[in-house]
Amino acid sequence: MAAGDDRLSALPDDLLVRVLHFAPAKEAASTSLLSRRFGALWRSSGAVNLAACVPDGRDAFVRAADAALAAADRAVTRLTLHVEGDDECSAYNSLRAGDHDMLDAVVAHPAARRVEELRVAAVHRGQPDEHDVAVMDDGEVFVYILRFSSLPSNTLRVLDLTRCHNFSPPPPPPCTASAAAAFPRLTTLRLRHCTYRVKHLHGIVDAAPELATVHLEFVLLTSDRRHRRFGPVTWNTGLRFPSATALALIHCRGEDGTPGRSMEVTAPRLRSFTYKGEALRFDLTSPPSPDTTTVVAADLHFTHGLGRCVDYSHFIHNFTNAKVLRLKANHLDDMAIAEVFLNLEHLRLELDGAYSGWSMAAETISGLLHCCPVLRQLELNFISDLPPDSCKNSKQVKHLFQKKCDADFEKSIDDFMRLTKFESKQRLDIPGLSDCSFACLQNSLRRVGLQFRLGEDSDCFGVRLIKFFAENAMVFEELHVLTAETEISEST
Amino acid sequence: MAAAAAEATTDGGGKMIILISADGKRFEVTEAVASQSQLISNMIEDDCTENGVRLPNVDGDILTMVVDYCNMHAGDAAAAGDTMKASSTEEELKKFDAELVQALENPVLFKLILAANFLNIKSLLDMTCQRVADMMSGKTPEQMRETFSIENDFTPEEEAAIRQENAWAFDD
Repeated sequence: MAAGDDRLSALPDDLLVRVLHFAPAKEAASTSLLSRRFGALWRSSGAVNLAACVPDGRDAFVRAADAALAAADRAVTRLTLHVEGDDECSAYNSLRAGDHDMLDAVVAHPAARRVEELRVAAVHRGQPDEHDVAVMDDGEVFVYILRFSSLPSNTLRVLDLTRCHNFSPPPPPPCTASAAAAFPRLTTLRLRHCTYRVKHLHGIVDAAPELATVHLEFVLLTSDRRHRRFGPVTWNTGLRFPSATALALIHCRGEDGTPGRSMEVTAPRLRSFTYKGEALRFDLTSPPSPDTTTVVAADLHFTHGLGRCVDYSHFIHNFTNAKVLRLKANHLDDMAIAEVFLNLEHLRLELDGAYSGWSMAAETISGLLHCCPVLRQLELNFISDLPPDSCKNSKQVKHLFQKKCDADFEKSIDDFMRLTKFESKQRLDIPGLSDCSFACLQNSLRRVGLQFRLGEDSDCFGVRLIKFFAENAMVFEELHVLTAETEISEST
Repeated sequence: MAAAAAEATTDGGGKMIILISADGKRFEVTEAVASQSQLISNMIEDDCTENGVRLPNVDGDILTMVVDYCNMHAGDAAAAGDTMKASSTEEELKKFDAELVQALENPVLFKLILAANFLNIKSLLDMTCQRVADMMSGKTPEQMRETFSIENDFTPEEEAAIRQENAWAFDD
């Protein structure tokens, strides 16, 4: 066999070790059999990544965990435990023997005392996908117990737990205010598919002064006070992340069932925020200046609610200082903004459903352009509801118009009009848009991206938008257009 | 000539620098994009990028991929200011990464690992190393040897000893 740089063996030791760092423990160990070149490299990988199917693979899992941890000849810094069960009951029973939790025992192994990245997940096959909210509610069944004392809390940088409820460090003794934090190095916390008491979540947050990234996915946040009584109760889930710069709340909910529920997040250092889920009454505060947030980039995806009357604009207006704003919702009017976004340079709107008439769209877009005086880049996507695999059934065509040379720009726009069978007899202007003047069109708007359907676009709204931006944006540079035809026409 | 181009700025205000591959291909990128490479970031700090940055051990086709990756991920530091590039959501980045990595096979994959290591781009290095690890996953030693063209230089006795020592890794 020719030796060359096209072989894995040709990589230097430190890179081979890095590869083994990510490999499953069993495969990593079995590289010892490949050649002398590999030999005992795997022992220095600094990682133990284990996956098992229970109940059948239970004993092998425990054996492999012990052996892999014992074989490490340098500190294990990455520990990944992924257990998958056939169904909830068998998985649960095979993980637990009385008070003894198998996963907890592996985490507590002496060789794992210096772990920096810990990922633990216990799932069962056929677990509902992310669109099934029920997964949060059946939480009592298949979970594992992680004890704080089992964790290498001093060295942890990344903690990633799936289906582990209410894990939290013990509260610090009341008289030791200056006591060392339990997670002095923790920067990233990810919790998935679990139920957490707000108190316990804050227990982790308060013990982690460096916590910069928080990702909560399908987390049901419960409150301690259970004053469920007759009559309307307003639930307010109050969360605080004093040091977080990036926060993602994906399908998280507060206490269920009451119409007045709301969420208030205090995060004075937040720079980027991601939200996916039903729009609720949401307030983001950043003391000491409670009126302005520090969020630079906000990504908001509102999924369809249960027909509640939700004030989307209240949610969106938490981010009036943002430079980048991405909105996705079922209706265009859910993305309407009314306050001025003084710093907004990049705006993206994605319509997660069919549009409800272009006159409404014109009004929304007009409102947006008015509210974003320094907008540099605008993206409008009216086809994001097309499933990714629909490309086979729909014809998608990309066009790029660059305004480097004026004559070419005008000509290529005209060619495009002709191509889309736009009849010049039709009106070109858009009432509510064409007759207005916008600061961003005069001074800042450089790039526009448009994605829309042809065909059902009976008013040629997309085509008219192209014309509108081409004619009215004074410092224009680029126009990206993606058209989709859902039925393949034979004429092309 | 190169100096003049290297000093050009975009309308976004980000200074442009030129990267030059081993085979002489030139890539113009903003400083924000290029500084994802710790190596180049240090060079920018030391003010020695004016005549373009020569990368004598990175081929043009590999550098094309690296530049694509960096352009796409420039928005990771959305807060950094160059918002024109911050056009991708977390989901889109994941998709981009998955597609990039799926398309990689050795030897290009190993070249990309070496480039990411040399340029010191941690996220790209982790991603490409993860890809190799994924290619190992589920394979027996024999299958791994075949995938990665590894010659077995053990005697049968040595092999048996290793199997015995790490028995847990070889039972099924």
